[in-house]
Amino acid sequence: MSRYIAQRLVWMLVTVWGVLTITWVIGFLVPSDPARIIAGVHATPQTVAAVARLYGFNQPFYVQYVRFLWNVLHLNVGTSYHFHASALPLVMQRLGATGELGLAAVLAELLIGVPLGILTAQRRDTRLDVLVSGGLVAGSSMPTYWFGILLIYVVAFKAGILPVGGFGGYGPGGWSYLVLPAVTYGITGAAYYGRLLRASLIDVMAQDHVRTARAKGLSGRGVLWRHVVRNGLMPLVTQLGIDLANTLSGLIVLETVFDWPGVGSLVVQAIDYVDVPLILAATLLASVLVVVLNFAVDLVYLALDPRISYT
Amino acid sequence: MLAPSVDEVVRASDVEPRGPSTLVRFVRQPRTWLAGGFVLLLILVALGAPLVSPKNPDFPYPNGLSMIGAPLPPLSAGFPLGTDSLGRDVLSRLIWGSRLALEVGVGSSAVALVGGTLLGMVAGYFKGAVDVAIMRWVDMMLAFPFVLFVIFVAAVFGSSVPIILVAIGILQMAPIARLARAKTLEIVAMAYVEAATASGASRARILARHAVPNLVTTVLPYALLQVGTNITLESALSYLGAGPPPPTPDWGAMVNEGQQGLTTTPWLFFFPGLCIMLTVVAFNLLADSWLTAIRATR
Repeated sequence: MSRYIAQRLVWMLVTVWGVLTITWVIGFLVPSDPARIIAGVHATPQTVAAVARLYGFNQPFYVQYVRFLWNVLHLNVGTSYHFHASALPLVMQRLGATGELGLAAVLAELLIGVPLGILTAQRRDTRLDVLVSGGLVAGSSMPTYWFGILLIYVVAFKAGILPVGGFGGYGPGGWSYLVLPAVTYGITGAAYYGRLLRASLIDVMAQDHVRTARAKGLSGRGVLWRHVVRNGLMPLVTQLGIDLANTLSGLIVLETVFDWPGVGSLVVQAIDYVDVPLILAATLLASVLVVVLNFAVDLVYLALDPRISYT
Repeated sequence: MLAPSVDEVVRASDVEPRGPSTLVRFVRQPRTWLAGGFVLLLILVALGAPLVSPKNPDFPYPNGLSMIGAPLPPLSAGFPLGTDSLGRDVLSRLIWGSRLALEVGVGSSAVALVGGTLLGMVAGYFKGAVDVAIMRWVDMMLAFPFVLFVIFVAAVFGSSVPIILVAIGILQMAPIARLARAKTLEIVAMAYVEAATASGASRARILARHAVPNLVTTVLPYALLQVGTNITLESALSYLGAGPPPPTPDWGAMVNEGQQGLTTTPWLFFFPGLCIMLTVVAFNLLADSWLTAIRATR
C-alpha cells in the first residue's frame, strides 16, 4: 500500500513536470519578443536589450529551461510580463475568490443534478422522466457564458433582483453576488450528475439485493434510500473529482462573464500580452489540482469499496 | 482439403449478437432522425452559405442602422433577425458562422478520433513500456486546463481555424485513447483474435481487420459528444476574444459583441447562443442514440 502511494506520488510529479514543460516549450516559441512586451512599445532598443539580459532571454534555450525548472522548485515560475510582479503569488492571491465561486458552482450542480437524477431514475420512462432528462440535455448544451448573460439580462437587469456581476467580498452581503454565477454553472453542469446518477441507480435497482429487500417487505422509500441511493452514489465520487479538478478551466469563462476577480479573469486580462509566466502559474495550479484530486478519488474508492485493492 | 483461411476462422468464431445490428438500432430511433435532420440541414446551410445567405455578412449596410445609428431589431424590413451595431445582417452572419462552428467542431473530433484510437490501440496491443509511455502522455493531456491551453496555443501560434482545431483535437485525444485502450485489451483477450494469431496472421493484420472496426463502433459516440464540446469551446474562445480575428462571422464572438449592448439590443447576444445550443443538442442526441443502440445490441 505504501509502495503504491509512493509510486503514485512520483507519477503525479512527473505529470505536473510534463504539463509545465509542454507549456514552457510552447511559451518559448512565442514569435513576439518577451523583452519587448515587458519593456513596452516605446522602449529604445537598448532598454529592450537590457531587459532581455536581465531576464535571461538572450541565453540558449537549455540554459533558460534548466533555470526555469530550478525556479519552479523554489515556487517561482517567472515575472508576469503584463503585471510586472511574480506570477505565482499573483495567481495565489486570487485563489480565494476562485475557490469560493468554484465550490458554490459545484454545489449548485449537485443540488440540481442529484435530486433530478433520483427523480428520473424512480420515474423512469414516464413523461416526467422524458421531460426532465430532456431539460438536462438542453441545459448542458448551452454555452455557460451565454446562459450567464441570459440570466444577467432576465434576473439582474429586467427583474432587478440580483447584482449583474462583481465580487461582494466574504462578508454577509457577499452571497448575492455568488448566486447568479453559481446557478449558471449549476444548470449547465447538472446534467453530468443527473444522467450519471439516473443510469447508476437504474443499474442498482435491477440487482438482486434490491429485489431481496423488496421481497422482505421493505417499503419503496426504504429500499430507495437504504439500498439503491447509497450504492448508486459511487460513480458520483469519480464525477465529482473530475468536475472539481476541471473547475479552474471552466471558471475562466464564468469569471469573465460575471466580472469575478478570480484566477480565470486574471488570465483573460493578460491574453493579449501572451503573458507566459502568468499562464505557467495558472497551469501549474490547475494541473496540481487535477493530479491531487484524481489521487483523492482513488483513495476514496479504496475506502468505500473493499473489493478494490492497490498493491 | 484446403486449410481454412484466417478470415474464415475468424468469421466463424466471431459470433454476431442476436437481433438487429447497432446501425439498425441507431437508425430506428426517432430522435436520430430529428437530430440527424438538423445536423444535415446545418451542413447544407454551411456549404451553401453563399447561396442561402440573404446578404453579405461583413458589409455594414447604411440602411441597416436606424435614424439615430442604432441597430435594427428583428423583423425589420430586409433584416429578418435585425442588424448589429455596424449595420451588418445578423441572419447572414449566423449562416456564415455555422461554417466555423462545424469546421472546428467536426474537425477537432476527427483529429481526436483518429489520433486517440491509434494511441489507445497501440498502447493496449503492445502493452509494456509502450503502454506506460502512452498512458503517461494521456494523463498529462488530461491534467491540462483545457480552456487555458487552447487560449494559450491560439495566442502563441495565431488564432487561425487550423490551429484552434488541432489544439482542441490534441487534448480531446486523451479520453478517446483511454477508451480505445480499454476496448483493445478486451478485444485482444477474445477467442477469435487468439485464433487469428494462432493461424499466423500478422499483428498489423489483426489490428486492422479485427480491432479497428470494433473500436470505431465503441469510440464513435464519444467523438460525437466531443463535437458538441468542441463547438462550445471554440465559441468560448471567440467570446473571450482569442478566436479568429474580426470580421470573421463567429457565433461566440457575436455573443461577445451582443453583450456590449445587452440592455438595449438583447437579440444580438441571444440568437448566436441559441444556434450554438441547438447544434450542440443535435450532436449530443446523435451520440446518445448511438450509445443506446450499442447497449441494446449487447
